[in-house]
Amino acid sequence: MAFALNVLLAGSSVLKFSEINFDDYIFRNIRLSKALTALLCGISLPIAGQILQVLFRNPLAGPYVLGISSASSLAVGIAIMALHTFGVMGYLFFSKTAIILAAFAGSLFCTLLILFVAKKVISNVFLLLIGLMLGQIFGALQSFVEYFSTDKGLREFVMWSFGSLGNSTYTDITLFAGIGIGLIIILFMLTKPFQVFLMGQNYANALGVDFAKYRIYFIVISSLLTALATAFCGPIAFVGLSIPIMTRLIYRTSDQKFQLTACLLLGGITMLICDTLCYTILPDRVIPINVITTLFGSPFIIYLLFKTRNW
Amino acid sequence: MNVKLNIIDLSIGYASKPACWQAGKQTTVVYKGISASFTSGMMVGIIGKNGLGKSTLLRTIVGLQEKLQGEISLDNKALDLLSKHELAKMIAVVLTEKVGGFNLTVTDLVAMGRVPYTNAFNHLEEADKKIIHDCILVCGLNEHTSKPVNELSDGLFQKAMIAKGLAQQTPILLLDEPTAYLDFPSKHQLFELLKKVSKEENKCIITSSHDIELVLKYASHMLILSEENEFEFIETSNYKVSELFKKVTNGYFG
Repeated sequence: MAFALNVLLAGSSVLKFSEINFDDYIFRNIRLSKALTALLCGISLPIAGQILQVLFRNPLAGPYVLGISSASSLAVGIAIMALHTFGVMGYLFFSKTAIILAAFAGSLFCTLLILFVAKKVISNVFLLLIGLMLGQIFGALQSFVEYFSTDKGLREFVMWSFGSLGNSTYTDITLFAGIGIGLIIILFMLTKPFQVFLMGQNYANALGVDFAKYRIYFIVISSLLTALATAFCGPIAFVGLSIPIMTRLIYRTSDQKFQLTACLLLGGITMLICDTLCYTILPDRVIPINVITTLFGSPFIIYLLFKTRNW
Repeated sequence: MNVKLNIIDLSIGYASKPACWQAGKQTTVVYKGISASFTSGMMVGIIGKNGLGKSTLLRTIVGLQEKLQGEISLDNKALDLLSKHELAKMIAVVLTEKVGGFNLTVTDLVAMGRVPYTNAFNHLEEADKKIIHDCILVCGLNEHTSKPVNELSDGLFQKAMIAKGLAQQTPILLLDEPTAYLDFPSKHQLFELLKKVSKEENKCIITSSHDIELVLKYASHMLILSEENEFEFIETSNYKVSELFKKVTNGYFG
């Protein structure tokens, strides 16, 4: 809560709490909506990351390991270029919606590809490699699109890829919150199979948990959460990978109910802090959120790793 | 609980799904024509060279891979008719693969054995906790309960996995080469433990092993898989040690 307040108070000019006027346009439509977006982003990406890390039993997995962010980046790249080509970029509302839709469509497309592969093959390593390769393909196509893009389009795309929490309207936020929280509730109903996934495929099956079936569920939940965050905020780096690692290093328990809850809380708080830092470090300048999350998060993880002998 | 696990003319191996443009089904038969009957209280050692299908047999029995032909039945009910969940209450398995990481401790690992019995949120009742505690005691792990699983020595890891198998409270326990990386005293300890469990808890324990001397010493029955697809299922007490030894070496050296 305190962090949420911080974000609300810090801005181009720092407000005192008593100065907050809840009817103020800037407060409602910029600061509050931004804080809510940060919170949603900080909740959904770490959960998506934790799901994939447990599924692949590998702490290097993150929400983007299955190529989802590359796919949405590519889609957004194409969308921005197309908008410029047809000269309709200026119409702000239209182009913004187009970008959100493109990002979501790209993520969904990649998710469907991954699901198709997951239905065909049993091996997790195979699936991971396919995901990485898909990511590479989308990345290469994106370079191709960028190469032929106009200067303006390229700049716009680079700005998008920095990630931004400030673009969401309340319709966006309601959508994000509704679907995101719904997915997380479903995940919490599935904590038992999720816990058993720590044992890997063979033991999970031998313990009566249908690995193939639940793997599909978990991939869908994780991918949709990633798709949502990417669509509304751009490719937010790092939190999805790092928060689950952090919670495991800080809270030494294998109980997934606990770990998922910790991911929710720590992720939300971290994003709020990072968003505050974006505004307060340099006077009169806003630093891209991805710069902050990575610059401050990585050293913290390194510190935790050195502090913890076994992990 | 007394159970009877029957295997009739079982063929094991791998059925590889053909790619979508190929017709038919490709199968690799690893071993065929196995028949045996296991009952509670038995301690069965499966012996055979590498690649003859010891692991495949165990994996087939526990439903991790499909049989190619023949029948497996539990108390005269075909095993295929049981759901994964029902099967998990009948057969527990200790495989060769390692688990660990993600802060998984010995207690957490043993608690996994209760999964077939817990509610949808995996809540452990007092009774569950007592069973977990007892299984930890039986396997001599009481000093290591809060240790991360990936910090355990090979011997302790095997014991922890067995404790998990015991916590599953199944009448049948399968083990795939549980003594593989252990030193000599640990191997004996482990078989001693298995023997004790099979007697005291009236469990049917089926374990594959390359440690012939241990199987000869501890097992009540032996399933010898030999090269020519001839197998023998024998009760050790019916034979002299020298005869048994001959049978086993025949299995290994043809």
